[in-house]
Order: sequence, then structure tokens, then C-alpha cells
Amino acid sequence: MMVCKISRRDFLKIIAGASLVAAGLGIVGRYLGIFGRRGPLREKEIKPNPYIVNGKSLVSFVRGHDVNKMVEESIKAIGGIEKLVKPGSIVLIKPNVGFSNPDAVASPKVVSAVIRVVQRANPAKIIIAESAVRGYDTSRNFEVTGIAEVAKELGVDLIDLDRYGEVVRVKTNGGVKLKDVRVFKQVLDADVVISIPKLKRHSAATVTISLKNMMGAIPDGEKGMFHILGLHQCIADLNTVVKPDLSIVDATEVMTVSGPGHGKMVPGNAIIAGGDPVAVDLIAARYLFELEGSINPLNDAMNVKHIRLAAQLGVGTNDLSKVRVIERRTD
Amino acid sequence: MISRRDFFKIIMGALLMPIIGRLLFTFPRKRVVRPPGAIKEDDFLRACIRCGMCIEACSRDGTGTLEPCGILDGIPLMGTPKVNPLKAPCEARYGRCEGVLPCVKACPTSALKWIEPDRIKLGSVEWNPKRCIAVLHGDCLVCAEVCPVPGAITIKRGLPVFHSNKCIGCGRCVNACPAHPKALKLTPKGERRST
Repeated sequence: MMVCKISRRDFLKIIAGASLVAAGLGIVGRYLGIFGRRGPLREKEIKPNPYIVNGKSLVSFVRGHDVNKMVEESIKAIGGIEKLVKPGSIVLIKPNVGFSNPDAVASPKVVSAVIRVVQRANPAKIIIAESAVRGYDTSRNFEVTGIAEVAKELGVDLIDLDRYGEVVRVKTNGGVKLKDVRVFKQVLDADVVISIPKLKRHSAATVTISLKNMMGAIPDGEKGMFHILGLHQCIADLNTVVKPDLSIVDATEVMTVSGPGHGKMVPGNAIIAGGDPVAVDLIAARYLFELEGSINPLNDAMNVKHIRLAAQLGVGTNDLSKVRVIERRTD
Repeated sequence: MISRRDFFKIIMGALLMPIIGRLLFTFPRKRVVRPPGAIKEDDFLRACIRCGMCIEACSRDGTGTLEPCGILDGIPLMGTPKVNPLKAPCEARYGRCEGVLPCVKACPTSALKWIEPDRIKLGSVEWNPKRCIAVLHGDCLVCAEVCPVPGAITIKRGLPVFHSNKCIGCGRCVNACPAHPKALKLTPKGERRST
């Protein structure tokens, strides 16, 4: 029998060489992003917008003071929640709870009103989920802003995605800057995603409404990446896969002039809802610029880069001739 | 048996020990950002027993900003707590620790003393425009977005302006800065200590 003899020195050399190669691979791999972004690539098809009549996307604009009535009226005006939520489906509600400042988040009154409407359609499960702006504790935001209380009162699940979210990689449907994006599995797996943004100004994205609100469905590392690659294009790319099926904009109090953390609060007394996030954002942004006293609010809204880019990618339409705005008033 | 020579060696060694100890404390040391409620630096170094209780209390929820100083911060500082905004921001003001201050409550000596929330100021941020994404290709301003203090970071012609007199040094902007390497750095400049 032959015994392979390796001297002590050779053995150490081999070990040193092997570890150098491994370290080198690790560094190069990390630099190229091979190891960090592994995992199966998923695909997702986008459901058609159920709120279209005669080729026109419906957007309701309800003014009033009683939040419950306004939310109910806004959903009824575009055709009711039953068109979207089938009995036994999983509904994920994504309010904007990015900050701990109550002015900067979706009002708990609006969130509870929406949940009450959704509950009537008998879904299997309703989840409120959010991943706050980096540097903010999502669980604490839920507590401070009163969303946690709403969830407890109505018996729905509340998920702090930063802590308990599972991340999956998904292919975008024709994204320009992002070919794939990491998102939270809970958001991707939900049958229906309902976005409840707050109508606010945004320092980098000009306005933050339903398209920008979906940035709360991606992990913190990806949020930073968006800013490096170009925020407006990335928001549009993200919305090609995780698009809200229904957006209900909280415009009861509107943050104007500056945002998204602090700004001049102006009473808006309106709820804007629709199945097409681009059309909803266009109408809501027009309202925001109108409140700011802009000379041509529609033009300003059309010039918001991520709304235009999202329309180019086919997320929705920013052509006002294809949008029907249903104005209502409740008092 | 110990020889006469060895005996003198031991005695000399014993006499040198405190001198060496003192010398170690004169080694160059960095100024690091201390947890909220820290007393004046010299008193702090004397009072802190490097037990790490504040660091443990800080990360009780899984994430925390405090970490022990390493050898690179200077030998006298080793083991004392410092704020590292790259791990997490300090939540002592406008955060989950407001009015609670677990780090201060955990301190067994009084190296950390209770401080009113509106007096907390850990330091201020330094901006490096050469690394800033807003300067390089626009569309960022994450720092202004996450800043919890009204008016501490304002925007002028698409660029952030840092007002160190209003900054509380929580490090949220440093934590969120997407530039790599970071365009912001938390420094103890302008810090307010407990008395």
C-alpha cells in the first residue's frame, strides 16, 4: 500500500494557498454581486385593472369631512370592492407608515375605513404590512401612529416587514434600470395589494403617492440601490411587478411645499381612489399642486418624472382622455 | 530560593506597573460619539468600567447602535461604548427609546446619567460632497427625507444643507445614506454631555 506523505511545510503551503484562493473568490464575487443576490428568480404576471369602463380607467375623487363615508363612496363610485376582492383571497394593505411623525403617514381613520370595506367582501385574510424608511423602526411607527390599534380592533394581521419579512428576487416586466428586484414575499404572494398612500411632497421623487408607496415593499438595501441607480426610473420599474391593484389616496391632510418627513400641512378633505396607480397619481399630484397654488397643476403633475416613466412602461395611463374622473361630495 | 537580583527585578516591575498604566492612558485617542447622557469625557473614562451593559441594553430588540471601542479608537478607550450609526441610528430622540433610555438605565456606575430628551445632542454630521449622490447625479436627498428634526437638513438647489446647531446626532442620515462609501460621517462635534 502506498502512503502519500506530505511534509508539514507542504501541508501548510496548501492550506495557505487554498484559503487565499477562497478569500480572493469571496472578494471578487462580492464585488461583482454574485453571492449577495443569489436565490431563485421568480416571475409575476400583472392582473388587469378591474376598474375600466369603456376603455376608460376610473378614478374617483370624493370630497367631504366624514372619512368613513368618503372611503366607502370612493370605492363604490368606481364599481365596488367585490370586483377586486374575491371571497377567500389574501388581501395585503400597504399604508404609508414610513415615519413616526403622524403628519407624514396615512391616517389610521382611512386605514380602518378601508379595512371595514374590504372585510365585507369576505377575504380569507387581511394583512397590513410595511417596511419603514431606513432608520425608522416600523413596529414603533405602527404603535405611535395608531395603525397597531386599528389592526387590533379590527382583528387583522400586522407585519413589520423589516423584522419578519422574507425576501425573494423577482423579474421586472420590462424594467429599464432594474432587470430584477428583491421584494418581500408577503407582498408578492398576496392576491390583492391595496395601497393607502398619503398625499405628500417628496424631496427626491417630487411627490409620493401610490407608485412611490410601493418602495415600502422592498428591503432596506434595495431602497438605497434605487437612489444610486436613479430613483424615478427605479420606481417605475418596481411598479411593473409589485403594482397596487387598488390605490386609495389619503388626501384628508396634505403635506405641501416640503416633504416627506416634515412639511406645511394643508387640509385637503378628499379621498382619491382607482385601480390604475398612474392615473390615480396623476390626479392626486394635480390636486397637490393645486393646493400649493401652482399656475398649471396638470402640467406640473404630468412633469413628475416617475409618473411619466411608469406610463411609458405600461403600468398605467397618464393620458387624461383615457381616464374618467368621478367627482363626488359627501357631507 | 529567589536570588537577590531576581528580588530586585520583581520590586522594580511592581513599581513600574502604575507608571506604565498611566503611560497607556496618555496614548493618542480618538474622539468618539458617546451614548446619550454620557458625562464629560475624562470623567466618563474614569467612571466607565467597560462592563458592556449599555451595549447589551441597546441591542435588546435585535438592532442597536452601541458597540465597544476597539484598539483603533485608542487604548484608553477600548471597551467603552460608542455610537456607530452604520449599525443602526440612535433612537434616544424621536425613536423607540425616547423617555426610556435603556442604555442609561443599564449603566451600573454613573458614566451615563439621565438626560432630558430635548437636551440630547450626540454630535453632528459632516458632509463629504465628493461622495454625495445628489452632487454626482441628483435624485437622492435621502438624508433630508429621513431626518426627524424639522429644519436640521434643508434643501437648497437640489443639494442638502446641514444645520449642525439643530442636528441631534442621531445618525439616521448616516445610516440611510446610499452612497458607497458613505458621504456622511457622524462626529462628536457640538455634543452635549450630562452634568
